[in-house]
Amino acid sequence: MQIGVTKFPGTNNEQDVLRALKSLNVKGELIYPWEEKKLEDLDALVLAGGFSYGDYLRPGGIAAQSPVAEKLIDFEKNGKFIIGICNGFQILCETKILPGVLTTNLSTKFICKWVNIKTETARSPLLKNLAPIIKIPIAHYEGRYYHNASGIKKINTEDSVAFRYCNEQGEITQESNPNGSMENIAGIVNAKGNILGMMPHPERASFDYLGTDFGKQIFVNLIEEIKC
Amino acid sequence: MLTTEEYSRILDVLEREPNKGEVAVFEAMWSEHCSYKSSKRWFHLFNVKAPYVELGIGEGAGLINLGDDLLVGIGLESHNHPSAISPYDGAATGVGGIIRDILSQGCKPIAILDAIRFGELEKSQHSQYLLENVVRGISFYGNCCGIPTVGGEVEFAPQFENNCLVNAMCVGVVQKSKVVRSIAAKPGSFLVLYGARTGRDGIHGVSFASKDLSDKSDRDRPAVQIGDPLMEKILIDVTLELVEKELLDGLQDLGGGGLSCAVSEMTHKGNTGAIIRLEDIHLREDDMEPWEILVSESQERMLAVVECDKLDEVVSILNRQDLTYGVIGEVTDNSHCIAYSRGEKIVDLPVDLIVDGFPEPERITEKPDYLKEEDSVVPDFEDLNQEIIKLLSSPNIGSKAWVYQQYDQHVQTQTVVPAGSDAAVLRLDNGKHIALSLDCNSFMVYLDPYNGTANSAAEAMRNLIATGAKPLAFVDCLNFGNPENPDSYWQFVESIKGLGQFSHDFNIPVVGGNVSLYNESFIEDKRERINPSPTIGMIGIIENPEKLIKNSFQEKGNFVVTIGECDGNLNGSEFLRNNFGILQGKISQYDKQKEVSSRKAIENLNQSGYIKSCHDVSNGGLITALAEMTFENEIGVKLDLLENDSFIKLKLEEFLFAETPSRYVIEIHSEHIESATKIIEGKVSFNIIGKTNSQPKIEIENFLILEIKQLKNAWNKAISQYMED
Repeated sequence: MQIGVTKFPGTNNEQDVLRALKSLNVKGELIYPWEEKKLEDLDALVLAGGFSYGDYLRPGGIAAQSPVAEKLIDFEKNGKFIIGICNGFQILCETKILPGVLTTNLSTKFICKWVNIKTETARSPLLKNLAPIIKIPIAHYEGRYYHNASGIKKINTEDSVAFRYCNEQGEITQESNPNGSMENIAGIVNAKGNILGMMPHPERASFDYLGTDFGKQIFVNLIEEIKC
Repeated sequence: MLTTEEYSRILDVLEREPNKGEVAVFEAMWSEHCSYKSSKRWFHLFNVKAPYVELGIGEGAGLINLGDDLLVGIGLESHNHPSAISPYDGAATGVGGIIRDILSQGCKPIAILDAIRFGELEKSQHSQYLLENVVRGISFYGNCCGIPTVGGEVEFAPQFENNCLVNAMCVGVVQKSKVVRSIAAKPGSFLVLYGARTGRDGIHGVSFASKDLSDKSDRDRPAVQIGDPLMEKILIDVTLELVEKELLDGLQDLGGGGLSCAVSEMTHKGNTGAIIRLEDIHLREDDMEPWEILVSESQERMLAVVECDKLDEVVSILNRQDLTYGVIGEVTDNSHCIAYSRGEKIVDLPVDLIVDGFPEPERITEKPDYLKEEDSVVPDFEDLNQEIIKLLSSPNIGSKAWVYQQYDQHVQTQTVVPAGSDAAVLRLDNGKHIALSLDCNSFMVYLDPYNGTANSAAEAMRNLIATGAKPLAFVDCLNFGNPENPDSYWQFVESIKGLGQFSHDFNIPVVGGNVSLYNESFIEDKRERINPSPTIGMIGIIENPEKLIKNSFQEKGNFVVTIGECDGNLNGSEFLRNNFGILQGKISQYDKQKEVSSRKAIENLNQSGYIKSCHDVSNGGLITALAEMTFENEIGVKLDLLENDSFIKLKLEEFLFAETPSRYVIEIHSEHIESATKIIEGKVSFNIIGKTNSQPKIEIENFLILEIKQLKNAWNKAISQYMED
């Protein structure tokens, strides 16, 4: 089994993803932006968070032009799995593999805190057996999910919303929306269910000593799906 | 600027006039910032030894051995002047600088903490602006580098209005066998400068840091460095690869004084010399003068010493990562730093002269006038509840969430206790936990530099103890006024004596730090000086993670016990300062014996597993400590004080607000209270003051009822109310 974890200049969560995979006895492999050929041998790819190329143009904007990113569409078409976390989600939106954009938080500040999210769909195997409400950290400056009205409608009709921000009781409220995302959207999946993009960090909620390991289930699901 | 005395010394030794490039080198290296010429003479007062100290003061990081030959590197530095005139870039590059300090010893940076000080938010838009941008700068830089910012402190006082303080601390880890030193030991080795290109930013940065600010300081903006965190992140990744492959024979970052500092300090430590060729340095601007290249403080640059047979591999790694580098010279054995620019020799100076050849300036101490003031008197007040809410609304007491939520606290997935508790706790790969605290009570230091400093260090220690950690070592950042002013210098010397005493009393060595003087200003001819602020960053270890202590009440029905005795002294307290604007009088003295007894009590009780939660009593006194313990789980507490000696002896406000050192509040299960009492009886002054309960209130029977919700609301908004529209 081969799971790649992208490492662009400025990516800084790749070791955390590797740590989560390692705890499930999977050795992930770092994929640098110029190593697009390696994608052919991979079963799945995790686009790890951080600040690829410093987010200098806009988050994920430069990474989306890299050789690896250009091959992502083929990867997706072959039905292989991709999980984009935080900056990875931004890259998936920049490459148009997932719809919508992630823009500056309403507060115009970087926000790092624990939030609650609720799983909204069963269409992706990556979302199996998740706790109904997951406590999980976010850490981003540009995590506000935005799409035009028809786009949002389409996502809802297609049942593509993976997660919404909610309160401890699972209610989707304005107060529990940390960054002003439309309809509290925290993550989405594609129609086939093999691509997941999410702003919260499951790898940061994968060990008890960090507060919870509820996030680990997403990696468990990924590994199980590849095994199938 | 060089003094007349310093210039004569140069003439005497060189027996000739120094040229322009050489003068620039001396100006940088003999500045207070680089030379420690007013401070070094007192460092002998510090305890610097412990069996686990692998590297003490003198290089980028102090190194301590946690066992299994896993070393922790720790450093703390100021970036005050740059942050005062350009808060965003000043703070960002302050963080960048301390990261590279840690990196210089081969450490992988794993945590950042910051101590920041400003004028009063409620009165000053300027201070709001500084806070906004300093936090943004730290956030932008630290987050992008992938290092969690896990703690620190924020303090506000009018004395920081025109002299804000930004101190950044970084912690890293390295295997003992991979440690790199900032030494150029072997003649014939190459000097490789890698990272960002060299530009004009930060020229004279150290000279700017070594003089008072004034209303004309804005003109020094070019002396502020500009940061590029993406470059820093790449620099970190590449350096760690070079370290892992053991390709470096020496490494130092380019900070204050730029290249001239890195080359001369590394050769000085190695008893060597160096030849460098300035044309081999990649520049941002083509027309830079040789002297500018020598002292430029452009960020994100490292100078490596590489042995001949390893150069090819180093170069291939740097090439692969597309990182700019130049092989700019060689280590020699002639004890001189020599710089050529296109064949022309522009600097030829003895290394010893550059690094420590300066004449030690005479410095005079004189006790300041303000210390003659009498003890403070508590003014009459009507409603105690309102006073308590006012206290919790003080930005010095209230929640700092507005600040730390802008920092990525969780990256690297090691953060067990993030910012907002007594100490941050990280879990290392070997399963051990380290605890980190960063503290200073500048008001107490202002009123009594000796005792205030020793007590501040003790508070940093109490923060670790309250988390269940064993303190191992500390670093300090000594922020003071102009050493040429006898009263400012007196504050500095007294403070260092207090810190030295503490380090010996508790056998906690100083392993590094930084001195920042000249934090004074003349604005419209009025002298302004910071509260003397020796910030203390302490590290401790939690060998057994089960002994990690929570800081907030865990269950209802448990006993609440105070350890240590309240002396009722309100001088220097946040209560008097915040609520009534009074800051004067004699503060509680540093008391080793009491501090030891209290610490031992907590350690022994924790060893026996009796502590459900613990919090030290510091700013805002007992009532603040209790309130903070109720907030997280909204577990209330009811106090019964009718037989409490201090309560009977003292006025209610003294009992509630005094900041007497050596005190903790602990929560103990009712089943354990008897055995717990036996452990500490006769060894420490303690009182069972009440019990936790499910009522969301803090109650002192017949005296006081406070709703937790109301307190928490005031506490939560303390900073954010001034920072959000």
